[in-house]
Amino acid sequence: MKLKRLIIAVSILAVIFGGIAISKSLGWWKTTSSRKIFETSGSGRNESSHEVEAGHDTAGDGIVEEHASTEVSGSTTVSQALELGIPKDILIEFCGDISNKDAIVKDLIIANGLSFGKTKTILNEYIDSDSLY
Amino acid sequence: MKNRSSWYRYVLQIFFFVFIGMLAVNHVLSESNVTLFPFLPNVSLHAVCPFGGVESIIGLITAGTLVPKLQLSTLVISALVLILTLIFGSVFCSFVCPLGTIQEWVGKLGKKIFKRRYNTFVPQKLHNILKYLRYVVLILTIMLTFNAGRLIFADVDPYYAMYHFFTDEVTIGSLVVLGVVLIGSLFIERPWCKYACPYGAVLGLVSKISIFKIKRKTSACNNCTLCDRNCPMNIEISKKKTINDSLCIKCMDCVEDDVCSKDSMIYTAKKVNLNEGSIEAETEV
Repeated sequence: MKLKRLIIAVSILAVIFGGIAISKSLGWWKTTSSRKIFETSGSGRNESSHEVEAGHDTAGDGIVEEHASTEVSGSTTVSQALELGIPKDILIEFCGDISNKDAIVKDLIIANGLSFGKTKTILNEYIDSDSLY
Repeated sequence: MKNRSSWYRYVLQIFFFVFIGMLAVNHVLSESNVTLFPFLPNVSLHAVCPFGGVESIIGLITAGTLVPKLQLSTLVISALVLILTLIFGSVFCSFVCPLGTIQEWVGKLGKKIFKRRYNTFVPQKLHNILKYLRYVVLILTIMLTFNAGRLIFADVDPYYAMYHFFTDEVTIGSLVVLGVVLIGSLFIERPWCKYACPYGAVLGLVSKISIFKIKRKTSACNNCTLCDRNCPMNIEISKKKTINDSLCIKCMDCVEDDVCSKDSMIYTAKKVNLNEGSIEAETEV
């Protein structure tokens, strides 16, 4: 059997979009996440994890360790969080609309139905991303 | 001379180039609560980047985790591209990848400027050494991503820069790399794909065991080397019976574009006697 470009082109579309459709039906197609927090106790990683309720999605695909020192606090604004180096898309993921740069991150997180305490830990991890894994 | 069959590839390239661009614009504008293409989902390009699965490979194996910004959908796309590659070879590079597409478009301008000298500026001996650079990039990317715990390649990624150049998300480094790649495409066909693309390196290795392969009927070939001169990836096709080079992107230029007047090139899954030219009996799809 010899193949031509037309067959290849059609096959590519079928595999990619067909595959996405199948993965969606199986619940594997997650484009946003909620992240798991592994609390650090002493030198080891605590086995129990708390999943942040994202309300709309539960991929649970990232690990973020909790640290003693935190940078994001209850009074941190969106612009301050961005200045701290927290990626914009991560902030949007947890805060929703961040077009108002003076808005308080804590208020947005709570309004988004998330726990500020747990989410704050995750956001701070993006400041100290070297300690992931 | 390109025939009508080339357009199937071009149409698919344009489709994916525009489609991914629309996804990127949708995602960027969503930050301002604006939806330009409501019929498309609001997804980050990181979430649908097939290279993400490769970048996260050590974390996936050792801890079952993905680097931040990557999602489960990244793994799905990676798996789908892997399936395509196992069947057809590196068709993702030639039919889908938008960075490859834009290099081709710039290359068309280069062909007009330099005509026959285009894509001949790198001596074959140097090319044979440089083509291993992408494996170095691949290993460095995987190791550094694991150590840093973030998408370190994004700092120099021309693909991400191409779709986000108008935002403050891209680094100067990635814009510089994109600029160098585009300028380089004026002289060399697909320079990023040949010498630097870490994902192309992975797909090239996988394509070595693909079901369909390009083969050359030596009985029909008159060694005119036209196929060599038309290969965008500088593969010495006329010296091989089966084109199993990891650089081959299955663009099919040597097979279908009337390059070979003897019809000695075929793309098939069958084992054929290349010396006796027993292809003619096969059914064409």
